[in-house]
Amino acid sequence: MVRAEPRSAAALALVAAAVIATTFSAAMMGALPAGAAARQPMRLQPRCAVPTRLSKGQIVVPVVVDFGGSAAKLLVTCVVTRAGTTGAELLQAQARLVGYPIPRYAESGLLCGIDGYPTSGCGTESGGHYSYWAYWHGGARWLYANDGPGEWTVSKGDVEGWRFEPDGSASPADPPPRAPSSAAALETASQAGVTSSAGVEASSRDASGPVRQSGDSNSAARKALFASCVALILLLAAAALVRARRANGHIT
Amino acid sequence: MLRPRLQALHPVAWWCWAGTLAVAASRTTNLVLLGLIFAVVAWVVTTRRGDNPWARSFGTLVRLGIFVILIRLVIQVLFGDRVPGDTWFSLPSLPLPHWAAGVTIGGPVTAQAAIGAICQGAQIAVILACFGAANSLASSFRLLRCVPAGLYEVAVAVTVAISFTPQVVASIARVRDARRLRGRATTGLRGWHGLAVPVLDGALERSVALAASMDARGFGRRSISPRRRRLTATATLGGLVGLGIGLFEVLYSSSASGVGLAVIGFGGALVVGGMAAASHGSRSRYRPDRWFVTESVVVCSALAALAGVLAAGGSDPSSLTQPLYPLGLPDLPLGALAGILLAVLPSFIAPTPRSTRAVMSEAVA
Repeated sequence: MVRAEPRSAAALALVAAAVIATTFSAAMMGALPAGAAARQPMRLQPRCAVPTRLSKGQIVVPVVVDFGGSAAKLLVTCVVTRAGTTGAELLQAQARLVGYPIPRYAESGLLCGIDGYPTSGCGTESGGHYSYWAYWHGGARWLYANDGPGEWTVSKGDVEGWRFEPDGSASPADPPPRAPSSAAALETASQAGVTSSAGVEASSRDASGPVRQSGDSNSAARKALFASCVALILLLAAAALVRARRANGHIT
Repeated sequence: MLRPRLQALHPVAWWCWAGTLAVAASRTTNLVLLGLIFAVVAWVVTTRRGDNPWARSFGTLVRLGIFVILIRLVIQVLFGDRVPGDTWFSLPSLPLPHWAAGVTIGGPVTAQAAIGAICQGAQIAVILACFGAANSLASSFRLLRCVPAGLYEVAVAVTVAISFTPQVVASIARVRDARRLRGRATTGLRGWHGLAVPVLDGALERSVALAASMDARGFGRRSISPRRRRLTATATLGGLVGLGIGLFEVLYSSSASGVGLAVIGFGGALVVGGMAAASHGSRSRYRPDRWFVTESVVVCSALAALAGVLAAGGSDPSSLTQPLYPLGLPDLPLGALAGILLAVLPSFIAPTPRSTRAVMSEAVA
């Protein structure tokens, strides 16, 4: 029962080495310069094509996605859907139509990224201001939404607007999307007829390259590591449980 | 200096170890990391706890944690934000007037909503488990003896705060024994019925009684002038409030803010100043707890876990969260995994507590 202090000293050295190594690697990672944002002049032609013929019950909802800030990028997508669809489903349909990653949400349900932008972070706060996606409802004018996209349902004539506010106040004082707010001004009749259900007109579509690669080259190794982690957790927890059960007879 | 036989690990070391792991858990919702922290804590607790009544704290708080996860899930399903995603099933929803925007009752339940709620609940559960581990491993009575002189002014509050959880756990055992003797149910829902009030009542009463008896025996009495006592008390209390606000600011906001760190520094300086002014005159201690190398190693092993988690968050914040869009297996940041595994060291190097039975048989012999 005599405590062997040299053993502890060796362990201390081990721990110290690990701490130094991890903090050093973290510092190296943080020191990498962030990619400079591509800046291009604003050239917006916010319009989307609408199919001339719709089947019964179908409506067209223009979805305006304004990437805000200095990014000269704005997507207007006409999504053919049914009345009662939620704003979240419309956004997902928009991402599919333009071929971008689907919207990213936080665990709380807060919308973090549209069309893969921004790639990380969620409503990040700095000095009382937030960088976030503001949600707007179109019509006679842009109205700051009072509800989330998961709760709002659309009907005929609605327009959905999103604008990224890099330095917003998270209030209706933030600027609305840089596009007309009424469906009539956003839609143009499609020359191609029924075949094109959605049109995209975007200036500098690949300005800041929001597309994210999701391919995993080493997924087999990752799965093996995952399985061994889970096995280790279960083993430790089970061993602890067995020990606790066995000791229960002694604890009074 | 060699650690004497029978010298238990310093209670402050156990609290630092568990608290650091709790902070690490508070930075992540990655279920693999949370599970690993929990497994490490559970293993250390079962190998290094004593056989005293408060050793059961861990089990009690783990059960409370499971309850927290269930409650979080139920609230998410019934009233939570309608998180979009892959719908599992739909509950009938109650239409609410327009002014109640943002509140929902019922509606579609998505996999993302349920899994996100479980992750958030698991985070709280693991933090609770860490708190239970500290209560299981360290004796609250020994911890009380380490309270610095500056805190003697608030002795009653400190005593109740430190000893309440172990008293609750001891109280549960006591009330259940009493119920068993009277032939009432001690397990299941019927066992819990009628347990809550006597347990909470008894635990608070015992904590207050302990504080009162310590006060009556002169805990915190010092021979300094009333004016100086008032001054040190004000400095200490003000500093503690500042520390609390600063810690909240640093832990709550996602980005490290200079204001929080400044408030922590100011509060810490006030507390240190107040305590230095208060530790006037010497006070003898009976068999004091001493700090050896082993204590430092125990604290450092938990710091390694925290450093690993923070490093993983610094290089890739998304590696600490559960990927929801699209749903997938969480990332496995190697630094964080290795750091958390190091926190299992106390189970090999911390002294084994002697069982009451061994002490008794030695005394007889």
